[in-house]
Amino acid sequence: MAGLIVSNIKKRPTRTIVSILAVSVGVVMIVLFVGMSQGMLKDASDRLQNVKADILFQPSGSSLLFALNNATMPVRIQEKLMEVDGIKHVSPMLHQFSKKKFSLVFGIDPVSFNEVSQNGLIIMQGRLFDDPYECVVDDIYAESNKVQVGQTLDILNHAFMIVGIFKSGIGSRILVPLETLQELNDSRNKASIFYIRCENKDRVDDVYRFLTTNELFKGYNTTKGSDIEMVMSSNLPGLQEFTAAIVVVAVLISFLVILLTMYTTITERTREIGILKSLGATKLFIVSLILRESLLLTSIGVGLGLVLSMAATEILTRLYPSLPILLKLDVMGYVALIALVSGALGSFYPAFRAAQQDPVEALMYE
Amino acid sequence: MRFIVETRDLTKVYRVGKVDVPALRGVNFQVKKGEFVAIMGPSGCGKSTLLHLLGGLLSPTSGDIIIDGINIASSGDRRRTEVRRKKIGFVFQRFNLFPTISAKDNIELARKIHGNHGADATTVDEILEMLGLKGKMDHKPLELSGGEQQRVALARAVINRPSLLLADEPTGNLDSVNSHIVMRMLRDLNLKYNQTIVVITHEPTTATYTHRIIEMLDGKIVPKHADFHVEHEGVFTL
Repeated sequence: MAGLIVSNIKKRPTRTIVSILAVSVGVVMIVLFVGMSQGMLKDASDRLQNVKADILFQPSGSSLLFALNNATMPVRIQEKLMEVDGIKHVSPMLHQFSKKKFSLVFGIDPVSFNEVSQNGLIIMQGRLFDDPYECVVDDIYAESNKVQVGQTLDILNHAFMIVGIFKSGIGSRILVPLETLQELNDSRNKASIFYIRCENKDRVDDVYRFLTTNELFKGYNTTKGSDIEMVMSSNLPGLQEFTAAIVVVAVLISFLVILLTMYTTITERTREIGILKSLGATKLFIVSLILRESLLLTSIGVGLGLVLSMAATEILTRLYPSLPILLKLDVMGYVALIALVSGALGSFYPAFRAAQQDPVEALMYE
Repeated sequence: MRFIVETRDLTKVYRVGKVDVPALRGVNFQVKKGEFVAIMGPSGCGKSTLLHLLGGLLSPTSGDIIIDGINIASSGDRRRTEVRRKKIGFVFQRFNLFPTISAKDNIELARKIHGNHGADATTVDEILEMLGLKGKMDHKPLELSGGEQQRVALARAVINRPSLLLADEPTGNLDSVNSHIVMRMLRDLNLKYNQTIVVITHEPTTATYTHRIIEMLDGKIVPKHADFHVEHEGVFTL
């Protein structure tokens, strides 16, 4: 039976190739989209976690995905926070999304930032900024944008001198002085977030409990550093729905392509189905034959789609080093399963129709 | 006397639009085990309908069809499919081989559908030898001549050692030389394996290879032409 299935697929090479490509496009679509969204989340989460803050303190209505909001709060809250028993360091940060660079710019206070992050900001080349219109960029940004120390960078329509390149993985890709960004952003004495470092790890829960229950800090968003990844993935508005929509579209593509392919195949092979019936083939045998054929087509499409996804990831990350794409084996397995199921569903009606064909009419089919 | 085929008051009426078109009007006949029978008649006399009914591809309007002891007229589709798989082999005018797979795979497919792989390996070899197919098994149907294709179809039909071989105009698409070869092979299968064969044909020459001719006209069997007996190849007498 395998010989018949393979030969049927080889009989119409153009249609087979188109079907396989269509299935693989669906697979690539899902794998890349999920990979990008998970990659971006993971990257943002890692960079936030690498600040090593024990607690993140934000204004009401804000999000850990900074690009999604511009809520700010007065910097003077820093003083109140420092009065809380158990808190050792507090570092304010203001962020601004640079549409031109399609990147987040963080305004930081280098001294307190290094206190919280325990000197986590590693300068690989040059130095940290001293003057208001100096900035540092991370190595990925420098590589992908082909910039180096000494060059100027246009940030929010202002020229900033790149004075240093820091090791990627912490904060943002572009760091500027806090006061400068406040000035440019018309947010004087404002901050988007306070990174808090406690005296020791044992005090984190107590401090967190205090900040979330004390009337003075009521209405602010407080997140423990250890919960960043979980909070980010669960609080991202619309991502799950959008991912689901992409999956549905890709599944529909696979389903319709296989349905159309197998439907035309069955119509073309009406006579052959009549022959099978004359040989005594059961309905189950015929359904199984069609299903296996479609599953073979879908499997090749899925395999090709996964290979193309990996190739596309490789190419995209080389072309755009700052674009994080996270390919996970479980996601790829899940996508393969979805595509196979949609392929099987797409072939079910043609298979059922084939099995129901009148053998005499089928044998007379021209 | 054991009958492999027996029909009783067999009728078949087709419904065409709002009109009933009778194809068979009470057909009664029997075929004994090991008999080689030809059913002859003009176009539209109902012989193809009769063959399809005997093969369980159609269900009758009324009457009985008993194939090797099983009344398939009153059986459901599943039972008729099982009888077709286990007890019947078909040979068609247009060969009806799968064009994309080799002769060997065409035959293997029939064995696969049969389930228990029908004949043993020695018998399979014997059948292929008898049909002159050794050396042709790896060819695809379109790489074979018409006569060779029909021999592959013949091998496919008998490979599972069916109780009944039904052949629908098996020489209809062949020249006289290949027609002779195919009919001689059918006769050899009948002689060597005591294979019961019912052939539908409108060619008198083809019918001469059989033991008996059943003539049909207007959906009925014509009594006066029954019971011809073969005396030797190519000649039959009353």
